[in-house]
Amino acid sequence: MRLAKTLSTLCVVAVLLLVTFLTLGPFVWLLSGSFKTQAEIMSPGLGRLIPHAPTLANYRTLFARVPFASYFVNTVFVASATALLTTLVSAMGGYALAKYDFRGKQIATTVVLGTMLLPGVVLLAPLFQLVHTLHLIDTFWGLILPTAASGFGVLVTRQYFRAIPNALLDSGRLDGAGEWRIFWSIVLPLVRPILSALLIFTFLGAWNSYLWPMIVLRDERNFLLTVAVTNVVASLHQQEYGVVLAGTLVSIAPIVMLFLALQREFIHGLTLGAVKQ
Amino acid sequence: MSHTPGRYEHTNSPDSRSPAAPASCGDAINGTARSTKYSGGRHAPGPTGGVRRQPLAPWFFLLPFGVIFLTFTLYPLGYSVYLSTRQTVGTRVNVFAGAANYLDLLHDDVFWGSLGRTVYFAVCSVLVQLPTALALALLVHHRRLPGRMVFRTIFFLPILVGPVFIGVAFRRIYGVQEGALNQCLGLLGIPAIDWLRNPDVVLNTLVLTALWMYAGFHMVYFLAGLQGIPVELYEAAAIDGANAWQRFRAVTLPGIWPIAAFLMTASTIGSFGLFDLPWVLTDRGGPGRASTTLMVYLYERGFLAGDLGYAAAMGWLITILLLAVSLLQLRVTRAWAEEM
Repeated sequence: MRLAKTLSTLCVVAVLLLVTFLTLGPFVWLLSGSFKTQAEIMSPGLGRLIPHAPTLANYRTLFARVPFASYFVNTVFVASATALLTTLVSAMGGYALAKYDFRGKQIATTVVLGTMLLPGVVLLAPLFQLVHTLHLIDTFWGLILPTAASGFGVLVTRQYFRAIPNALLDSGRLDGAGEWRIFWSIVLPLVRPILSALLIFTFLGAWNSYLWPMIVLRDERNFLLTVAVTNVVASLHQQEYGVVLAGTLVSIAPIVMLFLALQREFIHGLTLGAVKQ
Repeated sequence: MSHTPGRYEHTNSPDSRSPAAPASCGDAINGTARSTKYSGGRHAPGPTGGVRRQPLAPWFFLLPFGVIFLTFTLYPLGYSVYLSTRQTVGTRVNVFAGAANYLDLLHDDVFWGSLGRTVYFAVCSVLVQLPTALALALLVHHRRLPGRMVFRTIFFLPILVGPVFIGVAFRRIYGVQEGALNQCLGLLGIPAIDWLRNPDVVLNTLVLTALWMYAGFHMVYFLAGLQGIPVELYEAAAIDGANAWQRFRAVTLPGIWPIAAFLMTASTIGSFGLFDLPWVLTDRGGPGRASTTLMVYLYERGFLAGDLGYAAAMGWLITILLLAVSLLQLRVTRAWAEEM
């Protein structure tokens, strides 16, 4: 019996190791390829894990021939601004819906919920026209503002605010704290988990977004990493695949490192979609 | 995630219709419970102790959201109805066209072809991803497994990488001669497959890539569900002499069914927004139109050809189809849940 149990555990581990290999394979391949020469990448066969003659040439080309550092900075700015603005705006909206009674509250909630049922595809064309009219084409605000009012963000934060006892707010009021002070200093620290989850969720969404930045950004200097990797780096030289790999690696490395540092928050943030409504 | 990041991408975008799914997978994975119960009342009770409330406070808190929401969601939503009745060339020419865009769509073979390919991708993705994710969850959930946290962390990694970056990197992995995948398959004696240029294969290549991206992500949802099933149920079933399959059928499946239903809906909605992968990995929906999805076609017509009116009409038609599919899915999954 014990032998059978050990054997079954071994089988489970074997299958999981195979899946681990399949999952990590592309990452390892990407990492090792970015240090290889063009000739070694092109040579047939699975290739060596450790490059034959490791080189930094791909990374040098990436930062010298292309303003890759500024793409990186652009992306950090847009993703951070999107995350901060969306989270603040959502938290304020969610707080108003959770903790105050006012006329039109029911209608506002219904409208926000209703628009969440619509897929974003229906907004693509009119949003472009609007952003064009507002002269936001080729600006970062054209990327940040359209996503800042997230009905989803309002609804998930609202649920956390509801769990906070009203007595706590009232005791703040008795102590003479203003409404903003109560929100900022008493309530927000209590819902930190949902704030960090929402920050991560929106940050990652903006970091990896592609279609909308491709539509809005025109000037190559304003590109984000996604658009730059496909439209600038890839067309640099048909033959320099190592540079493309290096660019991809630089684009995903910060996210992976952040994840390893903040695993719990990341998993909470990315699975927010399943929060009970 | 929406530009609206994610709204237009094949990600499992947040979905408000989630049937009862776990409150927080982050908690489940760390095996700790954090209070996510809603102890607060539905409506705040009146102020106590004679504290005067500021009548303007709720409006102040709602203002930033309201302004941005009205400008960038509600207004464009209304405008897109108007836009769909116009014939446009970019942002310049704009003439009334009545229902012409919609009538043209009904006879647009590329549109219906793209719809067919998108549906094929959506159906295959669900059929391949969910069983794989559930199997992984059951394996990782194994009680005596050493290093289960490590496996969970590793399987979660692909979801962090944007589809664009995956597309760029995998182009090489899927190469016919030199690609790592065919090299590996060759070791097993499987002949080389033209993953990216064979029109009969490319859609399956997208399904396979999506499996790599989402299997571990969906696994985390299932794990949360598995951890929510009381151990006593399994013990009771064991006492009744149920074998492993019967225990799975009678205890596990009903326990994770709400999550499976949620993932199915979310995955379908995500699939209708599939753009990045076919655009980058299979070179703008190629070869020919073999991987042109609805979003690829919408982008081509609306933004490369500049017919925003047509794109708006297409957006509405896709929305209506999607709502119909979602409703149907909801009914079917509910019916199945009752049978269990």
